[in-house]
Amino acid sequence: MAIENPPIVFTAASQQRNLVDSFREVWEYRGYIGYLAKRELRTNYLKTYLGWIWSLVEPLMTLAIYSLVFGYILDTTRGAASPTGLENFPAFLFAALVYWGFFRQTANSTMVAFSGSLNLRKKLYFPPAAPSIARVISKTIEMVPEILMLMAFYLLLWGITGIRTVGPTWIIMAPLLVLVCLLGTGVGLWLAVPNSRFGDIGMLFNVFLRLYFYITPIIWPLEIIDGRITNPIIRGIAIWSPLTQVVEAARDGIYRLQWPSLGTWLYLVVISTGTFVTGWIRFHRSAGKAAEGQ
Amino acid sequence: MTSTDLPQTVDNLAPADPEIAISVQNVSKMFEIRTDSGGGIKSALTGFHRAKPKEFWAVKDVSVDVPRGSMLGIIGRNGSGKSTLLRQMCGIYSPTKGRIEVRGRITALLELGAGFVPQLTGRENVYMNSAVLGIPRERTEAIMGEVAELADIGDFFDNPVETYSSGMRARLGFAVSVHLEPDILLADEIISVGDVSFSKNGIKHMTRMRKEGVTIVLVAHGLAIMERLCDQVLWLHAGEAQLLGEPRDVIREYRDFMTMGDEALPTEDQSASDNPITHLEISSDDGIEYGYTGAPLSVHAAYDLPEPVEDAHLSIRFIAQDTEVFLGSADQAINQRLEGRGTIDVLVPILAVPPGQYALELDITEGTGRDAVSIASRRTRVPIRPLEEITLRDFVDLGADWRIH
Repeated sequence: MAIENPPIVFTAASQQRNLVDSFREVWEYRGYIGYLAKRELRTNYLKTYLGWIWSLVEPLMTLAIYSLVFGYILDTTRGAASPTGLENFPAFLFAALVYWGFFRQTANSTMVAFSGSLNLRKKLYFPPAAPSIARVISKTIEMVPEILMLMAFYLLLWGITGIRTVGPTWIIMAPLLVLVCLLGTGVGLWLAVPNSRFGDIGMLFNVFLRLYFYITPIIWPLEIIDGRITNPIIRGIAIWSPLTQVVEAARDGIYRLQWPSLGTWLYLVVISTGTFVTGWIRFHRSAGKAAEGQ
Repeated sequence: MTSTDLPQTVDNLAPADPEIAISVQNVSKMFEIRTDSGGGIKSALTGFHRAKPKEFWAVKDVSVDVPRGSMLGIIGRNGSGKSTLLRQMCGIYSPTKGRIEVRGRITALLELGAGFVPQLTGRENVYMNSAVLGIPRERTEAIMGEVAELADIGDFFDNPVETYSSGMRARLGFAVSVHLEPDILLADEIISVGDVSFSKNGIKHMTRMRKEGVTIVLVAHGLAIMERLCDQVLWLHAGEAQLLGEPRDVIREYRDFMTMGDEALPTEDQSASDNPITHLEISSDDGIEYGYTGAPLSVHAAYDLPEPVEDAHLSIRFIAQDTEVFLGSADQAINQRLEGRGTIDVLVPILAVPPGQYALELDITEGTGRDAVSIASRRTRVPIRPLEEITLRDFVDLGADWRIH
């Protein structure tokens, strides 16, 4: 019985994979990635009484705190009015927070999962991206209850205010989730290998994220920028950064019940897939070496 | 089929013979040892203290062909590059130089139960482990019964692995691995894990796989097993291929080397001439260079230390050549300086070591325990013979006093 397949060749360059090979290898290991994701979901809240409910506590708590401080005490709600007539700061905030949180989680998960897998990688061969992909999948699945919670909240508002808060534009939630997933994972892939060598990278990234959170119109409406921010650089970031576009698209579809512009979609598709593909290529150029401890 | 003509240079690489399952061609592996590991990004950014990474060649220019369906054994001391070579064969490490060609589906067992998730049950871990080793789910389902039977852990099979003992874990890991039916099996020390009956099981399954035409590369300490099962044996020393050939020949040479100590090879730092321990021999009562089980044994040594040693500690031990198991250690702490020339005499009142081939090692260290710094070490070959009727089959003569009423 002759083996017809060409031999697998390992050379100095074989840890570096091109785009096609790396995707094909990930596909071949899809079964393993599935189990890894299942493991994440199963074990995250294993020793807790409330279980996966905890995945809702953090976003809800964040929502409550920001609503209290910015919506009530500081009253930044002016400008948060929807064309539908609804003017509700928590609803306005919730739509943006969901996507911001998802971005933060995918980027960090990608990094952390890679560093955490290096020890096992010395004993077991798997594609270097497998643990990160599994972690991102589990984080995506954890988004489902959060989005259901968002929907329930809006339905409740409809009941209380009598203003219709639900519309067909809600379907943008799904493609937007995909784009944010690509963007976050892409950023994570760019940083995963440097972070595995210098843990400082992950620390710096999260410090940067806190700053980025406040520059992005999440707790404040983008409309107020005109009267207040004159510095062209801050203005530019606040309006044109990818996360601003994500947050505004989310608000358009979920809160204002209008379709995000075609320009926004194009911008987001280019930025997200661009970040992901370049991150993926960069990652696969050096991940093998990093896994060898070099 | 068993032709093992090695390509001598990278240039004359003919397309490898399809009958060769694994072709290792002039492979070297270098690791960069960073000495500034504590510096992190700070030193990387500032450039201060950026010590040049030290190069460490774990494998040096090794070539070997493994014909399909044959078995290669790799022997050598700890740190000789065995595992590094094995890891290059399955793609975990990439060669720094040279190339490796592999034909067929590889299953690498570098550690039994590697990747087991403590929180998942044994059954789920079997699925997961099979998935990473490339086994389709249907196939895993089909062999699940056999795996459970071989693992022999009863109801624990459906309990989380974190509730297992280490033995149960190893048994489950092994049970998965033997049912994978790979084309090529790369195994690192797996049959030396666990108890004796478990090891026997391991050998049994390895023999079965061998009969079924699986190509096997095995790294192990058990030389007897290697000699019985392998078609060829590769002996690595300090990353280099010391010898490759018939198991019997290679293992004999290796045994001689292990018992003679490092003097036989000039590759070590301490060659015979500048070893601070200038002399080491045993002197039995009758003046013959054998030790006798159950009899007294005297060891005589001489030293010539270039520098004085504060807080010197001496120890002797026997190293069984088959297994590298260390036996017997008589520590003698000297809480004073040891300097210049002198002699050491050790008397072992009753040698509780079974007959066999051993290396006797004398070590001089400064300090003890974790802080010990090795000053000198020397080995000499010591065959130990039985005294008339004494037949000892176990490691140690307990010297027990039996009273049966």
